[in-house]
Amino acid sequence: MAKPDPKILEWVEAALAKDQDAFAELVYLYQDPVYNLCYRMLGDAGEAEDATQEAFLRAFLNLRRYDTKRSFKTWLMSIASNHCIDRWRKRRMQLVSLDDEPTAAALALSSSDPLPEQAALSAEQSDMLQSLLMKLDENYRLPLVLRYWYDYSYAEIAEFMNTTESAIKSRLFRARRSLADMLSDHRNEMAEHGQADPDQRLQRLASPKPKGN
Amino acid sequence: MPEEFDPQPLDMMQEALDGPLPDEMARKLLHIMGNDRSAAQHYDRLQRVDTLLKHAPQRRAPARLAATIMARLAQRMRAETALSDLPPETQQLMMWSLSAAMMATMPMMEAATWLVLHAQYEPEVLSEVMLQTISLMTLLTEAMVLLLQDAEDLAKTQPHLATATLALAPYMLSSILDHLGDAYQPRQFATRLA
Repeated sequence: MAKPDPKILEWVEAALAKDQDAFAELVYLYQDPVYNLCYRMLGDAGEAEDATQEAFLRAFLNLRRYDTKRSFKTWLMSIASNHCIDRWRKRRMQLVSLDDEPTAAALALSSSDPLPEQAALSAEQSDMLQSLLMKLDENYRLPLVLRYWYDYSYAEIAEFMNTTESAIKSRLFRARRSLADMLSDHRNEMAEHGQADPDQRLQRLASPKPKGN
Repeated sequence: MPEEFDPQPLDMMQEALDGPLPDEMARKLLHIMGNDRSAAQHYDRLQRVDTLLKHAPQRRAPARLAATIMARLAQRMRAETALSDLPPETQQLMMWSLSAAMMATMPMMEAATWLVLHAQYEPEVLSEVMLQTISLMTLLTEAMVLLLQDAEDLAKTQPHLATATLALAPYMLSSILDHLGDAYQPRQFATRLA
């Protein structure tokens, strides 16, 4: 994993000395990736916001445990992901329903809709993808999120999740297969209802561009 | 998913999504897909998922998030500073009072644990025991939280009163338990389980 740059270490040192301005720099720098991780893991903007706040507070309170030889971002993200997994498990225990998912129609926009090459997904398509992600077990969702949104390698995800590279590879494969099956089910549902093939638009997204951090 | 083809091509397909395959492997995969329609369809479905994921946007944090985090952090640090400014003997007294309050709940916790363990093979009794035990624990926890909040507020201005408040906690919790004696019936449950 990448080592932190000296500026970040400087802020960490200052935050350890209770300098709140220094910690604020770290919050500004990492709030987007941490929030995105929480959103992808929890599937709800409000909950993601709470989880992000909690992750940063925990990071501040446990700053002495941070190993400065390792990436600060990775350490912070692991705090956030552990917190999200705890929250998700509690939520599952409370049997909260996920029935309010966007409909399959979200992906079934007409193929005549404007969609430039390499454009990001529409809000509806993005919500649809998120609802499919939420159907995956958290042990499959997390590696997928780290791979696609943070461009982590198998080795990095394995270190992050404290497991082996082959286990991560297997989870990623299964996660993609599950998503493919779910998408396929949606396509079949749409075909039954006489709607346009939702993947027609996706086929136009040639040469996908991976997202940066 | 169709499973008519052997698993090796499945792995090759997945690896192809993560980066270019070595020439030999790529040729093999192309050959397989050219001769097996279900394999080609499966790869097509995986590619669509891959494309969706690669194009999903990064969610940006709400504008107020950093400010909220820093406000919560400042609040927490103020509270910690207020408590650490207390004289050491007051801090010790508060810790002692808190421990005493926790100990006041121990007999009830022990009884509840015993009942739950012994009622697990008696579904009817177990559901009643669980319901009453959870209600009681919730009530006691809420009472403790209220007491601690009051004590924290007092600690900032009148630390000795805070200690006195906490010192009353064990009696208050015992009183709650006595008051609930009729509603919570560990003895009755114990008799039914005997």
